[in-house]
Amino acid sequence: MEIAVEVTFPSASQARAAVKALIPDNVNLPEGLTLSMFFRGKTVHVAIGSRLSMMATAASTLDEILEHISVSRQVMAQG
Amino acid sequence: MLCLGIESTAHTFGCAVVDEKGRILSDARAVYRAPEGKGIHPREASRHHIEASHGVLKEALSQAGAGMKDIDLVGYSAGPGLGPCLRVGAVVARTVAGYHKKPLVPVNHALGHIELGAALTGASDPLVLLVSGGHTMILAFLEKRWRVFGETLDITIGQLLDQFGRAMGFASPCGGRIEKLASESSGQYLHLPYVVKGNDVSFSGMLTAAVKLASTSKMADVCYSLQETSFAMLAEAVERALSFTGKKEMMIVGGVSANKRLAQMLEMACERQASRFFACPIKYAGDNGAQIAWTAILDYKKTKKAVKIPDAFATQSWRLDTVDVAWR
Repeated sequence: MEIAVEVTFPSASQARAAVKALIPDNVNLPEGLTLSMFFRGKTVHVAIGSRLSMMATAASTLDEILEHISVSRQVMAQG
Repeated sequence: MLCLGIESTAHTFGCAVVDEKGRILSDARAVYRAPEGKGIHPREASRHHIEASHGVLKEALSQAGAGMKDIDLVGYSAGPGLGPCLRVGAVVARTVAGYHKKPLVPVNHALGHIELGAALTGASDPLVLLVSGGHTMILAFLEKRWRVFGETLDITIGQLLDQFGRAMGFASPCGGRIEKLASESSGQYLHLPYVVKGNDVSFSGMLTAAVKLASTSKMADVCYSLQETSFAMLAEAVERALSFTGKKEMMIVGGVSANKRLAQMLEMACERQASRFFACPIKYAGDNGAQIAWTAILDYKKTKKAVKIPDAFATQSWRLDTVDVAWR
């Protein structure tokens, strides 16, 4: 199973800063879970892969990542 | 030099701006409140921080009359603490530092308590009692590190007070309510386990016993006995450490340092050991961004070292006695 999400930022520099801010926490993933995160232009791409039995874990991980993307975006919006 | 400090180890999300002379130009905080009778839930607290973070940051900059262009350095609490909460602060710090191209300094949260306490009280080389929900440690500085001269073997003093209070249905944090009830006691002492091993303390047995006692005794007397017993254990360990180290100053920091009875007991111990007693001002006793900002300034001024964004870690376990302190 793979869940893929795209989030668009106002600028490429903001998308880059958000990805750089989030990547250091992508450690110690549970076995069976894969995560990729990158930016292309103004868009941040997040993909989480897991076994069906780990769907809840994958959903929780994605939930936290989206929250962090939202924080990062709001912080940069302050200028 | 202006430093933005970001704190998010537990229930507080705080941002502050501090200058290199130690002046606190702003101190904005939002505190997660657990439901009555419940403890802090890490994920719920982190959701609170996520909601609060940008507003707190904005307020801190506004209070200081500064914009990000005026900030020279960003410090953040990198641990120890609750993982989900730490990660929110780290994301904010990495974003701000990365986007605005500012140097980033990870700060040990416990060290932040000590350095801000020392700056505010004027203590220069104290024996430190760090007492909060996350820490119960007696520390002295020697050869570039804070060395532990006693600590809890199980729960912290803050956890003892909070877990007892929550079992009684009080709202967290419970220390203030327990202190007030204790002051209303007639002084009827009820026996509770007094456990000091070497110079370490243990509170978990006392917690069980106090909860049990509360079903048969007056609440004020149980609170009084809980304070008297646990604080006497700490005062004993502190006095022994003062005698051993010969330190002429003693400083209490952390959220529980707001308790007047604990301060009173420690003052008596200091008097016997001819040491000066210092207590961190109550306003800054709890978690705040200023402690992080000030410690980041001290570190950066001395070492000129910042971390690259990909290396800006957040870790739940980071013992203070493993941190090299270059500036002392």
